[in-house]
Parts: sequence; C-alpha cells; structure tokens
Amino acid sequence: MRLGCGAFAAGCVVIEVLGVALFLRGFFPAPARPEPEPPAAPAAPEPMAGASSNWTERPPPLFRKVVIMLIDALRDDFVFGSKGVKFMPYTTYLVEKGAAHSFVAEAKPPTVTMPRVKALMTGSLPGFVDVVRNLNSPALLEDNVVTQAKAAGKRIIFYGDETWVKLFPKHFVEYDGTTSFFVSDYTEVDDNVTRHLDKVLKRGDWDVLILHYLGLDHIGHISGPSSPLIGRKLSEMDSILMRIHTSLLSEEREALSPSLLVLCGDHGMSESGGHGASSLEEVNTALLLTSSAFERKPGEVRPPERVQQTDLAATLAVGLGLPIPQHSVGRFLFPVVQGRALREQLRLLHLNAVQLSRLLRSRIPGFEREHGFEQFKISERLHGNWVKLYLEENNAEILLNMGAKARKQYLYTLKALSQALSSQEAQYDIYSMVVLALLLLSVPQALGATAKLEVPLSPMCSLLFYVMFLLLWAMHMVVCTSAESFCYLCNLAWPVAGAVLALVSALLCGVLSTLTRLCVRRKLLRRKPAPSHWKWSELDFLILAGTAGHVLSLGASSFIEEEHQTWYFLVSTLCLALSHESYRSCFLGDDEEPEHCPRVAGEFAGTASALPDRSVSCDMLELDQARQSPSSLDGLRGREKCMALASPWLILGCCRLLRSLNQTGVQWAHRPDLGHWLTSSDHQAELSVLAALSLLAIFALVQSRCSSVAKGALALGLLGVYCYRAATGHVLSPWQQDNKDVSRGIIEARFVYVFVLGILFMGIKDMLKSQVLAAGIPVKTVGLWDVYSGLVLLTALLFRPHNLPVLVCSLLIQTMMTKFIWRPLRHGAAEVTVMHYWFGQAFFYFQGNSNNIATVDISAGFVGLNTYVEVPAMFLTAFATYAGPVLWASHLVNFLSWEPNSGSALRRACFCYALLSSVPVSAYVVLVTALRYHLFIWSVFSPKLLYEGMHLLVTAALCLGFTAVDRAGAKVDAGKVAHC
Amino acid sequence: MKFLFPRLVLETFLFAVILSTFTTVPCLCLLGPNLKAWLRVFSRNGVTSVWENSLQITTISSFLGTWLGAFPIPLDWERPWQVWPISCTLGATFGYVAGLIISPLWIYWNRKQLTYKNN
Repeated sequence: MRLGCGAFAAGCVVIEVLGVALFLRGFFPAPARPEPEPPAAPAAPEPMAGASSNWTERPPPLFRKVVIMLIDALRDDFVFGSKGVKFMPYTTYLVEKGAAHSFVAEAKPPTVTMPRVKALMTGSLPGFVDVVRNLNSPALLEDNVVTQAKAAGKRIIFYGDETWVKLFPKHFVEYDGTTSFFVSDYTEVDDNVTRHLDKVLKRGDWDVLILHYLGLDHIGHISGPSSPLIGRKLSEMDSILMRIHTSLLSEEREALSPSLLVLCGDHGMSESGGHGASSLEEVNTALLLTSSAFERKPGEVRPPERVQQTDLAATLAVGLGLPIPQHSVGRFLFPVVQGRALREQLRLLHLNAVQLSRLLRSRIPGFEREHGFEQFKISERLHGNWVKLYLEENNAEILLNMGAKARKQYLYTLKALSQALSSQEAQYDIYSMVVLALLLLSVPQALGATAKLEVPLSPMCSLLFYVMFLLLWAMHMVVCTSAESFCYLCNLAWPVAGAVLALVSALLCGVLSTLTRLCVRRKLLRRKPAPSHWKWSELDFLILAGTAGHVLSLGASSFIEEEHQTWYFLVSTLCLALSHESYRSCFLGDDEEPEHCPRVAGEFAGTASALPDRSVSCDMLELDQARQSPSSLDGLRGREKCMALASPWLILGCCRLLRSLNQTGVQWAHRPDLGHWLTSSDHQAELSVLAALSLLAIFALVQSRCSSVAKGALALGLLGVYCYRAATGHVLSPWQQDNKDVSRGIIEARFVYVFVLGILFMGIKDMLKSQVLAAGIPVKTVGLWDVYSGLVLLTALLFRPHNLPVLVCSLLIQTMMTKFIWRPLRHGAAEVTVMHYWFGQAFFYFQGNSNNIATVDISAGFVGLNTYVEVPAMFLTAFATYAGPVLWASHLVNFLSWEPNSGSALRRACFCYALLSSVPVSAYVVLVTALRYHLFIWSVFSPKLLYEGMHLLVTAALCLGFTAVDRAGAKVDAGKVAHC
Repeated sequence: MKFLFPRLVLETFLFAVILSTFTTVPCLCLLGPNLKAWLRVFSRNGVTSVWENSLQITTISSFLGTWLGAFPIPLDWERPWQVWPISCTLGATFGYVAGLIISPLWIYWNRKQLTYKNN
C-alpha cells in the first residue's frame, strides 16, 4: 500500500495538529480546584487562650458603599508618574494630600483582561489557559466577591466591558455591557459607561457600583502609550473620578457612614501599546483607595506601596463585611483598617489568615511544615493571649504592646502564606504530555524516513504492533488506576484513548521498520562504494545548519524572545551564500551545476537512495531538461547579468530597511523605529505618501502575470484599500481635505472584500477549467497567480498602512529571486522550499510579530465588520498574523508550477515544507515538557507554544492547499508522466 | 529618522577593518586583484597550491568564527562582551587563530591526497 508523498505529508501534519491540540490540553490543564466548601461556613471565632471568645460574628462592614472604577490598561505611571501630574490633577491631589492610599498593584501574567478581572474578584491566579478562553468567557463559578456581595443582599450595578456580564450573569441589578472588541473606537465605549453616571449617583439604591472603562486600552492598541490621545483620555477619566468622589462625599455628609472609591487598572501597557506578557510596564498597575474613613496627617508623604493585584479581592471583602473568597491568595491591604480599633484589626487579620491557611491545607500536602503555617500558629497563640488579657481588662499599655506585636506577627504570617500559595505551580498532566510527545516525535521521523510511505503489513510488523499496543495499554491501565492525579487521557472515553494508543503504536512500528530497513540498506551501501555524484553544496550545509541551529535555539528563553534575530541572521547568511553562488556561476561557469537536480527531497532524511523508482525517473527527466536548456547565467544578457549579481545585495538592503520598520522582541523593542515614527500624528502626510506608493508598487509587481480581468479588479481593490485607510483616518485623503470625522470604513472594506472574493473565485475557476478541459499549463498557472494576487490584495487590506512596505518588499524579493537566482541557478525543489520557508518566517517578524501574545494585531479582525463576529474575526486575525508565511508558501506553489514537470516538484516541496515546520514543533514540545518548571514557562515558553500550535495549523492548511493544487495539476501532468 | 541608519558606525567600521585584515589582505597579497582566482580558491576543489589551501582554511574559519560569534548577542547574560561587535570580533580572532593552527596540520595529514593541478 502506497501513498503519494505530498498527500502523506499533509496527512501527517493534520495528525500532528491533533497531537499538538491534545498536548496543549494537557499542558494548560483546567485549574484543578478543590471542591468548594459550603458557602455558609460560619466565620472562624476569635481565638482565645483557654476559653472561647464572646465575638464569633463576622465584623461589620467598614464601608456602606463601594465604587470600583476599573480603567483598562491603567499603568502605574499614568497615575503616579509625570503623565498623572499633567493630565490627572484631581487624582494627583488625592494621592498627595487627600484621604487616600495609593498602591502599585502587580498583575501576574497573562496580562489580559479576563484573567485579570477574575484575579481582582476572586483573589486567585487564573492559569494561562484563560487567555485562550478570553474570547468566550463562561460564567465564573469560583467563590468571588461579587457572588458573596449578591448573597449578602447587596445591590450591585455594573457598566462597562461586557466580560463582566458574562462572568457574573444575573449578579447585577442593573447593567450595560459594552463590547471590547471594536478596538478602533475609543470614545463611544466610554461614553456608553459615563452616560449612566448622573442618574446612578443621584439614586441611592445601590451598594456596589462597578465601572469598567475600555477607552485607554483601545488607544494603547491603536497608537501606543506615548500617543497624545492618552493624555486626553486620562483627563476625561480624572474628571469622572472627581464627579464620583464629590458625589460620594456629599452623600456621606447626609448618611454619616463612609464609602470607598477604588480606582484600579487590570493590567498595564507595554511600550508598543499591547499587553499580555510580563514586562514591567504591562505588570504594574495603579491602585488608589479613597475614603473619608482614611486618616491622613497633613504633610505626610506616602509613596505608593507595592502590592499584589490579588490583594484587592480580600480588601473588598473586608470592606463590605463579606467572607473572603475561598481561593483568594491575597492578603487584605492593611492601611484600609488602620483607623479601626485594635481588636477589630486583629480580628480581620485573623480571618484572613484562617482563610489562607485553609487554602494552604487543601493545596499543599505537607502543609504543617510550611513556614507560613508555623507562623500562623504562633500568631494565633499571640492573638489568643491578647484577647484573654483584653477581656480581663488589663493594663492598657501592656495590651497595646502585645497587640502591636500580634499585629506585626499577623502581617508577617499573611505575607508568608500568600507567597507560599502564589508560587505554587499549576498541575501538569505529565502522562498525556509524554504520550503525545511520543506521537509528535514519531511523525517527523515517519516523514523523514521516506518520501513514500510503505505501510508494512507483514506478519512480523503486525506482531510488533500488537505487542506494542498491549504494552502501551497495560501502561495506560497502570498509570490511570494507580495515580490519584488529574489526567486528561484517563478521563477520555476508553475507545478514544485506545485509538490514540493504537495510533502511537502504529507510528512507532512504522518508524522501527523503516529504521531496520535503513540499517540493512546502510550495510549494503557500505559494501558498495558510495555513489560519487551525491555531494553537498555550501548552500545545503547552510540550510541544514540553519534548520538544526534554529531548532536548538528554541531551548533558550532569550532566543525565543528574540527569535526574529535568528531568522534575520539566517536570511542574511542565505543572501551571502546565494551571492557567492551567483558570482561563481557567472564568472567561472558552473561545471558542477547538473548535480543540483538529483539531490532533492531525500537529502533531508539522509536517505537519498530511498526515493522510489518513479520519482527517480522523473528526476532523470528533469536532469535531461536541465542539460538541454542553455546553461544558466551565460544565457542572460549583460544588464541582466549585472542584476543577477546585484540582486542578493538588493535583497539584503530590503531586509535592512524592513528591520528598522518594526522593532520586535524584548531587549531591543523599545528602540525607536520607522513604524512608530510613521504612525505618530505629526507624520500623517509621509505615511499617506508611503502607503500610496506602496499600493502602486504592489500593483506594478503583481499585475504582469494576472489575467486581464483580475488586473482590473486588483487595481480597483488597491484603490479601495487606500479609501478604507483614508476613511478610518490613518492616511490623508486627497479628495476630502477637511473631513475630520472618523468612520469605521465598513463600506470601503466590504468593497475590497468583494474584489478579493472575485479574484479568488476566478483563479479557482481557471484552475478547475484547466483540469476539466485539460487546457494545459498556461491556464492553470494564470489561475494560480490570480489566487495569489487575491491573497496579496487581502493582505494589503488587513495590514496597517505603515506595514505596506513589508508587502512590497516581499513581492520585490520574490520577483528578484525568481528571475535572477532560482531560475538561472536551477535550485532543486527542496532548496527553493527551504528558502521560501525561511523568508516566510523572516517576514512573519518583519511585519511586527513576536513570540508574545501582545503583538497580535487584533484590529485586523474588525476590518469591514460592524460588530464582533467570532469566525470571520478569528480568520482575519490569523491571516493577517501569518500573512508572511502564507504569501511565501503560495508563491512557492506558483513558482514550482511554472517549472516544467511541476507535479513531482510540488509533491516534494509539500513534503519538505511539512517536514520543515513539524521538526521545530516536535522538538519544542519535548523541550517544553522538560522545561515545565522553568522560571519563564508562563511568560516566554507558553506563548511560543501557542504560536507554534497556530503555525502548525496554518502549515496543515497550506499543505492541504499544496495537495489540492497537485491533484488539480495531476491530469495536466499525466501525459508527461506517461511519456517519462 | 536616525533609526534608518546603523548605530555604532565607528565600532562596526573597526570590526570590518579587523575582519578584512584577517581575510582580504592575505588574499590580496597572494592572489592579487583577480576575481576569477578568488572565486576559484573559495570553491570546492579549486586550490592549486599549499598557500592557497591555507588561505582557504584561515579565511573560512575566520568567517565561521565571526558568524558563530554573533550567537551570544541576544542572550540575556548581561556580560560586557555580548555587545555588538565585540563578540563577533572575538569570534573572528579566535577563528583566524584556529585557522592558522589547523591549516598546517591539515596539509600535513592530507599531504598524500593533495595533488594540485599545477604541480
């Protein structure tokens, strides 16, 4: 039984995608929380040495009303830094002179809104998987402040991000959710919140008011933290804070009980305006508590204290007189209760310590030996003694001293407990991870072993299969029955687990049999003299070294953070090697040139001899054609020869320019770059000119090989792109000079979409026609190029205007490489594939991506959409993010199908492409499994794992596309193959 | 607009001077301004004398050292020598020294197989 190598590769990659999906399921386990205790658990009584205390009730609430004003992406320096002084005068006044406590609250990565909201309200640390679930947030089932407040009969009102409404359904007596997904709108989202304020502040029928403002975050996403829009937004927020505060104060004068106003951010904002990772700017948020209950001596300066974001949940619970959420790892902010009686302070500290120690008991097996727990016992004893003395009405001074000592001890205890809890690792599902890593490892080996899979059906192999299957099954039973641990594979239904195990054992069998066959063949080969024609050029060495080096570099967190440097470096080296090769073939004439053809796909696995006879015969055909064709660069005229010599240097120049367009990574991300310069409001004219020129260049580069209809559609489409950008206010429009109002450009974007779909449809129709009518290669290649130009048009629409030069350079490099390098030097299909893959990866980073969730440009998902629609938004975002690799891969298809004998070349290219992208994924999966206790596992390795998974998905789609084109071309090639 | 132009121009220039001292100057001394000879020496089986052989080895090893010297730059060890172009300069120097050591040894070991077209 045989499978063609292209289809086989595509199938393998699809299997691998499933494997990675399952691996991710094991790597990001659903947080294994202990069963919630009955919520009506009575408050722990006050400890007392020898007797029971008379105070067993929960302490009364400290505040009558609480207003939480949450501003998305409120970085600490927006309030406490120079921006705060300049744009938030009232808040600065509160911080410096008012009755307020200010803190810098540290958020834990992932710094994305939903996990942060959960952390603020539950006090626990949501896992990384919450990022993935961020898009459809299910209701929060864990114990949290909002649920407790509702259970206590508080009336809660909420206005703002609708994430809250989804997290807390039916919790609010009144709410108005605004969608957070329309990033380019930063005024209306906030106006929709503020318009309710007057009415609500006048009414007195609520206890908790929660406001979540999104505008600041949206401005960050659009134009970064140094944009002038930030200042305006901060002033707006300041005036709102003043309104709320004055209204609360005037109400307090009537009601005589204090209320609390909380100003906080959920996460910060990186220097490029995104968030999601763990840089200092993203992690530090401002937290300001204001209440007339806080005392302040005149002239007292309090620098903002550093606290954890999770501390707010406990603080709110204490302030509202509610039980602290069960899974909260925070300690309440002590300054809040400083004005209260000592007995109450100790009581509250005790309650918090009891809650934390309970959590410790349920989470850590050896909790008695834990430092925090020992401290807790000591402080409980001190507290008990103090209460005893207090009730016996002892000397006031002794009481005060003892109380202060107990308080100090409690604060220390809380810190130790909180630290012990927050450093606790999430539980990994090791077993699933190992099984799936095995599966993933065997796929590239199966891929690498042979170009065509021979499914072994001999009795020996089936025996091996059964033995292995039984062995794995026994292991599965042992693991699942013995361990009490949480494991995804064990929770699967038996047939599914069985199927997974069968697949693993089948693949292992295949690998084993291929290896044995290889060994046998090696022995045979050793007896014979090695085939003399099989030699590696410098380029092949470079390609192998680069691929291996990149895979190895994935083990270091810095190399992952700066992966763009690896690709830029490899591409530059590639250009130098190509320049060497073109010089040599130009001046020396290439005497060893015909050797390019036989060493193709097989060289990767090191088994050139494993190529089955049919493809070898096709190689011979290619070889003959290569010999017949006039030799290489000699055929080119003088000017073209110069161009061929200069083109590697031109490409290097292009790469240098693109590097300065978008700074990515971590270490050098703060450097000024051309992208920021262009997007700043002072340089709109330059940006407009650049965008217009880029669109013209795109048309010039793509149009020459389009069909005439597609040419017209492309021109109109590119015009539409400019109109769209003009409508959204990114670039100046030449026809409406004074039109300042910014629309969403829905009509323009949809206009372009129509052309994109039209071009794609025509291209596919041409390809089908060539298959049905056997119209030959020209129709098919024109159709393919039409599809490609449709993709280019879509990319031009989705890219931000300052990124359009990336697209131009990509097209330019493709044209130059095709004309002057790949064609004249007659590189093999494998080499061309590798070069396309490398350039695709480099362009992924040129367009501003990095291995960091924060750089994903989600605004691409809203081009031409009125509201957030999940499927198209996801598709568009994914396409815009992976535009570089996708465009280069589709160019590869185009390039190879022009060549004579495209069928076998395409199949080999598909195979190589699949191999190239699945080797790093498998290696990375193993590495991540080994490094799962690494310090940077959440901030560096996990986002990269998500990126790799997504990249593999894109590769699978591309390989399926390759195979489809190959099938479509099969009929055209059929005659040739028969001839050959 | 300064981000369009390279930073550390002087340092880069000095690095280029060092690298060309290791590579271009010996080549110029031995081969002269003859592009074909250069290309021949740096292709496979193109050397025609012991001198060219050692020239090939030292040049390639200094380039390889420079190339490998760029690797530590992105690592976060915060060492003073990780800065561009110090590590590359070190790599070039070590590569050149390694080439000087390797080339006589290589020629000595392979003296049986070395048959030059001219001799």
